Amino acid sequence: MSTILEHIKTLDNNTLTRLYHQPATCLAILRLLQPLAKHIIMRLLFVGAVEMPVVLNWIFDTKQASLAEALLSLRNFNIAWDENGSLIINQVFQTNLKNALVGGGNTSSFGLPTDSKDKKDITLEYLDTYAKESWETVLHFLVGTPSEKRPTAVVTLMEGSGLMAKPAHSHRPEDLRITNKGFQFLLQDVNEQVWGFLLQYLEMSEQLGMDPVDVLNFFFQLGSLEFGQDYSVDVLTDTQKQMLEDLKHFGLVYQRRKKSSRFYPTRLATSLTSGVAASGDTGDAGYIIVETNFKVYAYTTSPLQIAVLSLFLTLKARFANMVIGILTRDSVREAYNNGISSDQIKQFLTNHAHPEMKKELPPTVVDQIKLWESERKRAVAAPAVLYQDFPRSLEYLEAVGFARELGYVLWSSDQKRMFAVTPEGHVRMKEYMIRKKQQQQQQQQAV
Amino acid sequence: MDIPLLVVVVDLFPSPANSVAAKGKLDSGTVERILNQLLVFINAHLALRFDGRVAVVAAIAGRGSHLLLDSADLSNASTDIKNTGGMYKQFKVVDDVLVQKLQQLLDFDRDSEENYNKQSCLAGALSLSLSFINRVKRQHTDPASTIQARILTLSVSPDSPSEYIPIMNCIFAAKKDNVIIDVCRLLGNDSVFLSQTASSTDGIFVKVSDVDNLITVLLHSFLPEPSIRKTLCLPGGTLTNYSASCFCHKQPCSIAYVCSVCLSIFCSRRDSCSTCGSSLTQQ
Repeated sequence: MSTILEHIKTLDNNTLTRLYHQPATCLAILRLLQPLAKHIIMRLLFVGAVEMPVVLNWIFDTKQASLAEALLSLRNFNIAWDENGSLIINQVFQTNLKNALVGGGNTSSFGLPTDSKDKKDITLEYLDTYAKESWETVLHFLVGTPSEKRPTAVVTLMEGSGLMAKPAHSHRPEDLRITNKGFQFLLQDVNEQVWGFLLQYLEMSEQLGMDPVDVLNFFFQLGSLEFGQDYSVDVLTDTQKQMLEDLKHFGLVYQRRKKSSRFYPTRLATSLTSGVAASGDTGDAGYIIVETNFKVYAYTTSPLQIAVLSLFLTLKARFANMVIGILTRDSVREAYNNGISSDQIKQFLTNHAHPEMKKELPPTVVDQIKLWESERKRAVAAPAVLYQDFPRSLEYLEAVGFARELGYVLWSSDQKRMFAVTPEGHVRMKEYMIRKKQQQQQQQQAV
Repeated sequence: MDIPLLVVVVDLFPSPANSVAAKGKLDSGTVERILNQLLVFINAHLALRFDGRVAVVAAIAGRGSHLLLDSADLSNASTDIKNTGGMYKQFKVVDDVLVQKLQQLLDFDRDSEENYNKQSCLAGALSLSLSFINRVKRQHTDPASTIQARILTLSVSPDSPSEYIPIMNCIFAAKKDNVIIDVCRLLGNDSVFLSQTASSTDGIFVKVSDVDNLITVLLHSFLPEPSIRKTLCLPGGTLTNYSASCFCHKQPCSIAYVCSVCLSIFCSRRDSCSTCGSSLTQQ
């Protein structure tokens, strides 16, 4: 969610102001901002401008830092700024947010429901199934399940986003293979996945010469639509009609025929900006049981879910309605090698936990997964210089004490009388050793 | 994650004997102006967060309290969604439902003059709000988030002495449940009970005399949710009159007799406590 904000931040002021011509976008952006910034907008909304000293008085003296932060982010989004000693709200943003709140202005920003009734009855269940199937087709394609449906939009996006890559010297789309990034992607929840794709789409649309304002507005409009309602295609811009065509393949919207004048948003789309995970509705309820002996029972028949599980499980047996696997050191380490993190595994198991498990993983398993991860980070490579063969224990202790005091010691072993220092430390150690040697010689001469 | 739940208690119908309505100030035009600004405020609350939730409870003298609206349950709303006039659909539906329901209550009430002589039922409305909050909290099963509830009371009716004890009980219940009760006092007359309510539940007490400025006050002082009130400098801190009311005549009193067993307050000396029945005669 934060990534879309970051993307919007990079747009220039003119583009931002054009973006704010849609009430739906203003509302969505307002909701994404930090709480203090929201309240500042609300206070400015019906006033327009407030003198800076007054604004400073809104906040307790001890919290002025958070005010500065909020003002900076409003400035970055070109929503409000300090001008001639007053805080001024962007008029376009002000007008359109007001429209969203009290009505008036552009009537199609939140989608225009169609006038006539659809001849065919499109039920909510149908839309859910449609969204789920389309989205799973995309994921299946990612894990490499053979299938006939391969819309170009999906293929280009997969490759462009780096989730899949062709091996060198190959140009056939059939040769696309999943990358490390793709593995990580599979373990994210659906909402994150959808946003990941949309951001990628946004980047590619700019290369294709589509207007980013149109694209973003459509994203936010989708997020504000009502699930189960049909909306008119006619009020969309040409760019948005093209997007409708592309997003169909991901199951975000449903359109019965290409020429149909109405479209239905699915739950994948309407939950876009709400931050509520779409997975709970579109995906299955939890199906994974993890036992303290590292056995994992997954009540699923979906090849996709099994493929995802096999990313970090050693599958042992498969039955009509379930698969059994074991979390082993090797299987989990392989997942780590693919760039998956222990948190992702934990998150995935928790998100899809069977209701019987009450959403809590066995602590032993969680700890072990963590340990297996930290195990890989046990050895750290650093350039070093080794000191050894000290004739006497005293000399070793003095030398290592000196190095330790200056914080140069990377490693030391009292038994072996060896220690390693950083290269910077080596220069100082050399000086120290020469000094020591001179002292010894002087002592011997004195004797 | 806290899910903000706001319960607005609307108490717009005072008894005319000793209040402003008798002088004709609170005519239907004023009510409409107040209502319009309240609708904008409710929309603003819903606009801040996707999961924001609003309920409205109306307290009507002589007619009891009614739960008019719960933004999470709008399934039976009969709004024409084609004509939202550029508004976000959820806002439009909430507005329509609220206006419709209030209209029904008002129409019913308008003809019968004797209703105006009944006493306010603010305590009832507060109890209803607290029960509603409690129900929402119990029904909320997602362990990842909690319900952060507060009550905003828009009130004009004067204190009615018989409500002292029920209101006090509401205060204790609210404190126990961590519910903040904010009070917006319209038309500028004072209320001892409500200022006590606000200050003992960490809420804000604001008097608004100019009804047309209501929206500014609402957005400035009452929109911030409890979590951000530590940052924002909000009005309040005015001296609260903590004087208690006696249990026998329900009149405020500064010096009184207190039952040594149950702490009931009486303005005159008695032989036995009317609340717990203990004998108070000197041995």
